[in-house]
Amino acid sequence: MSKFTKVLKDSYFDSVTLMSLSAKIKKETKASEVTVLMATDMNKDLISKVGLGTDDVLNAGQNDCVIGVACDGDAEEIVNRIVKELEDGNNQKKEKKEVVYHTQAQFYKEEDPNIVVISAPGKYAAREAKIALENGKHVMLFSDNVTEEEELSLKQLACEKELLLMGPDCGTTILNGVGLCFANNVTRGNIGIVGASGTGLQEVTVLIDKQGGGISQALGVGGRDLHSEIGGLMTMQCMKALDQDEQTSTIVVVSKPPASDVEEKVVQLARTLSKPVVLIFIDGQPREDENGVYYCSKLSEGACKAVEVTNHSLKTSFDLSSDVLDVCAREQSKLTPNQKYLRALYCGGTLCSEALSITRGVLKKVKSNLAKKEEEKLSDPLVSEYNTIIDMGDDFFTNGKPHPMIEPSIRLDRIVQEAKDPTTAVILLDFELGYGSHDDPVGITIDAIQEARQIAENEGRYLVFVAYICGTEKEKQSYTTAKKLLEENSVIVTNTNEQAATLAVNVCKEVQ
Amino acid sequence: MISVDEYLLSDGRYQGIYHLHSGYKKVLNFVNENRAIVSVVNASISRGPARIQLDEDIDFLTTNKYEALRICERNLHISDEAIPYELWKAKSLKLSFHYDKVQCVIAYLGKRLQQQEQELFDSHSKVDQLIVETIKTNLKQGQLESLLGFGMGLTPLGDDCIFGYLFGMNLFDTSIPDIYSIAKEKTTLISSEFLYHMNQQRISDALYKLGKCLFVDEKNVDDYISEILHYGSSSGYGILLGLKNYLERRSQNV
Amino acid sequence: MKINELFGKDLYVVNIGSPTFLKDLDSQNVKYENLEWAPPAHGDVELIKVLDKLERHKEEIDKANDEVVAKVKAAQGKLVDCKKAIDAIPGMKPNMILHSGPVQDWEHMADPQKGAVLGAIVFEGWASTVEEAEEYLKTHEIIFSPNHHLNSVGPMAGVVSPSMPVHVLYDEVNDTYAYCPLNEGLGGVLRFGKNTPDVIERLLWMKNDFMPVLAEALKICGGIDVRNIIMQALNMGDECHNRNKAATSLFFREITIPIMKTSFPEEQKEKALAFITNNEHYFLNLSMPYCKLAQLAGTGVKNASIVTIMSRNGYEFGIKISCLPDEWFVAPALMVKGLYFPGYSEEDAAPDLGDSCITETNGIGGFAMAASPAIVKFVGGTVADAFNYSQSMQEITWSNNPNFTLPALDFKPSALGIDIRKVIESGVLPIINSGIAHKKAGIGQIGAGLVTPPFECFRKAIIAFADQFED
Repeated sequence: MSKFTKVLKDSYFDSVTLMSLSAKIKKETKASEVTVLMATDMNKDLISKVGLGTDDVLNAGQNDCVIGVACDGDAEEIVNRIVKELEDGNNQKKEKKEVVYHTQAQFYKEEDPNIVVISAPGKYAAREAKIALENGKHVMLFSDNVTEEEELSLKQLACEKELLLMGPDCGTTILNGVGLCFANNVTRGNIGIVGASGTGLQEVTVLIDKQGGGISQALGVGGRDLHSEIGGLMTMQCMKALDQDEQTSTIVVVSKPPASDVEEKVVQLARTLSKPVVLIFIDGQPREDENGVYYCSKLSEGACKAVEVTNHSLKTSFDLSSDVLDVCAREQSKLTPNQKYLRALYCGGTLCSEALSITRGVLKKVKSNLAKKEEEKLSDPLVSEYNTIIDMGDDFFTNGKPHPMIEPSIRLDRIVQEAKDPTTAVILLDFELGYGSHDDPVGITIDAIQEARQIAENEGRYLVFVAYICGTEKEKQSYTTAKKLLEENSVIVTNTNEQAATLAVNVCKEVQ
Repeated sequence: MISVDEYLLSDGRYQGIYHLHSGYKKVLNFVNENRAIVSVVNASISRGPARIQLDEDIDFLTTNKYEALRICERNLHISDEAIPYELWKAKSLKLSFHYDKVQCVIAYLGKRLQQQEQELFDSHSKVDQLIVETIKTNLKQGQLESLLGFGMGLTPLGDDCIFGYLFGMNLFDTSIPDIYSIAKEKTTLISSEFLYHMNQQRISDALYKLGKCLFVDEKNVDDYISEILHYGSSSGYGILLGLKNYLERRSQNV
Repeated sequence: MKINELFGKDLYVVNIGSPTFLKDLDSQNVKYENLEWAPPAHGDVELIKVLDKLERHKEEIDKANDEVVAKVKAAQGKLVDCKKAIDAIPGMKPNMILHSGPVQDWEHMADPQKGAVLGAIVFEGWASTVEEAEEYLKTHEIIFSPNHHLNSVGPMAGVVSPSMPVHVLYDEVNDTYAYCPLNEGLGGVLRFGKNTPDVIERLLWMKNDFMPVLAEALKICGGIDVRNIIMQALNMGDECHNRNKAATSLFFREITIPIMKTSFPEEQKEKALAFITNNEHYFLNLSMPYCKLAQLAGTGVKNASIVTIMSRNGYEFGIKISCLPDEWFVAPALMVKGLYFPGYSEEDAAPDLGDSCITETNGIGGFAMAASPAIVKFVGGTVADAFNYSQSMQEITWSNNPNFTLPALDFKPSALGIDIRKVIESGVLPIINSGIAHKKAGIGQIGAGLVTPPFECFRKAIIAFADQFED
């Protein structure tokens, strides 16, 4: 039983406030005594009788207020809480005047938020993240241009305090069913995902939803988390947290292939967890599944595996149906002999990577602004050569301009440009729906598609358009309307990004 | 029209410049150099001793206006402006003691108070139980002084009980013991001021209404008692408990 | 709250940066706060590094600041005497003229201040006209010194010459004194640079007829507690920089009988009383030296990052911090933004001038605007603005002063102890209520409004402050 008292000098709190506050505190903390009394002689006697009399109390005057608590927990903490509430007048019903806060420090004096979303410029972002962590808040760090050293230091601090540091450059998180920044409106369920990639995480959540599964949490950890320097700190912290989470039955990790030492650490951890783990390392080396740890190298493969492991069944198939293949063949036949190449114009970075990896597996002469290998690099990202896969969200394109997921119109000129190139056969486009994205990404693009078709027609050519809409039926932007609009314009719409890329590539394969 | 207790303008104790003592949603309490309290109340509070009642239902906590108060002879100044006012005089209610009628009132009050007691006091709290026991015991024995300053609230519950007890005396007797001079030392400033006025046999319009309601015309008794029971947190309860105890003791002497 | 505790709780989000994603939070019914965030230190990466360095010494600095604030809060202030400057102020010399603001020389002085200096020279009898006074300056050595160097403060031009009467205030807790010239009244007065014969005449009257009466009255009553009056006045609609009406009334009430009891002729006593009661701002020249005493109490504490002086001379704004009492940090003074009397506009205005922001330094004046929302009329703002200023000052101060409560903010104490670290971090500058003088000497007050010190003062101060620490 701990006891604590405090004297507030010359304090005239009104009785209703005092009583309702004591009652509330008693109910919440289950303390055995919560007394707030004016320090008159009689009351001081009474307070002493119940063992709460201290020198301070005995020396207090009849116009001072005494707060006394006896409980099993931390009495001092409860007293301080009462003092704070009294001094803040939080119990008094009044209109909250518009208070403006400039700094975190000032805000935390008055309020107790649990998570901070930071999109301030990179050079200030790390500092704000540190302040947040030091104050016990979780952080979603949307900003990029944070150095790897800063990232490491922040994640070490976060792990020490068992807090989330999602990022840097983290665009997607679904936390407690709430989509933060870019995220899709997916069914709530029991599959927990940790993702070191933005649209990759989105795709997996969407595909899980399509397969009848649901998401408990989807935590972005930033694209560099699985580099050697960072060592997978946040990925592993999140995996452990999901293992402890009652709502989660299966854990999924999505990322580009980690550095090999980091991959081993992650695998080792996966083996020790109590729940099954699906590791999706996009384009990674194939590995044998073990007991409770599953390896996939494609997003849709991983999504299906996760749902299978959880629900023991899949709702649908992601195989390309024969109808679609027929449509493809028909489209293909309309191409003129000179049209050979694929031009993929992506808004989503990871989806673009997936398309790139599928393309290079099938076609020769593949170029991209994401390429690491010399022979795949484009001499000018603004001009396509051969089969070109472009990530239009890359810094090169977005410097000073909004990201194409927010403003897809920056892609329109490029669509028309590709149409003017007589060697273009297929144009592949992605559209992201959901929180954070544009209100009507398809609507805003449809004119450019029509214009492109017109240009090609005028010169006696035909363009094959393939598209993937990353979204569910529940999004704020209507999925059905978007799909219908594209199909009315003879755009082939697929169910997964993998399908779209595969289809597009296969059309070209025949003519190359 | 602003209503001002006539005493404020004639009793020397109330002359002078005031500064704010404490402020709540419906009431602002001012204090001057003589430690006299004047309450500026909004239209929702009844008129009463040492009160200046405004004609608006202002929530003082949200208002931007906060004015300086000065009383100079028969002039009331708010922020240096002389304010026109109408005078309020305390009404006096004197009743004859009819035994049977009083027993009915005692029974009724007993029932209402019992209901309220369960809501107000926590049976698990030693402090609460001690307070209830002590008050009831002392009231039964008519030991008012020992209740001064005792219990929870800005006006401690014990004081409220004394206040209610004295109110009973005010209704049926001609004299009231001087509790104020002792109260000054033993309880909060606000509470002792309430007792000051009761000692002067000056009751608020609300108490006048209570007296009439219980003993004379009984219209809407239930509603009105409910209203009183919601005064402050436990003030209404205390006043009625004190009144009931007075009535019981008086009944024994008849 | 650890990760697993976060799962399952309602989110309460703080957004720092782009507000793009907020509408999606609204549509998901998530509680959030969008911080009015701006890069700390106005985006200056070097200053951010300085802040980070100071963060490593946080404990020592915090402790020192606690000490400063405790001392400031405990300081007393009693008006004990009224004497000539040369008799009252240690360090005052027969050929010295004090002025407001940081160090200044004749050449660079703002016009209103020059006008006041010339008027003072005539008042002293060193010249018979203003033109002669200008000559006098060329041929004689006059030492100019900031008021603050001698623990004195003066509003607007703040000119104090050896024979001028000053209020003498005493802090018995710290055994220190502070001084301030008397307030002449409104409009055409020396402190706005007017130096015509009527102004001189009044100054002479104040010295010959008023000062002795006040001095004797103070001996009779043993002094007047200025701090106590401020505490009451703040609850009566004053903020004690630009609104002093209630405080002047309270002072008048206390000094009346002592003045009546003095040995002077009835007519002289009456004129003395009239002088006080006819001047709503009389008390300003008492609240200022009280604030000076309070800040003196907190001066010289090692490692403390609290501002103890803010002052301007119509040319530059200067600040000093507790641990570096001899160093001024100056930058060009800004223009006051406010409302102008009919016929005048910002073009006519002198830059910010006077020691009177010692009141804001001590947490009243502009910091207590919520006590006196009427002031905000001057800015053409709303009453909510007045509250917001008082609230936002809490962001840059170390503590608050429960002696000075603001009723309209639920009796929140006013903010006290400007911490330069917080100013740099938040980019919020202390707000000052100020009168506006005409830029030409002699015309007088042309308006009133709000102004802040230039950020540059704080930038210089924090760099010097951080230099004291090892890395």
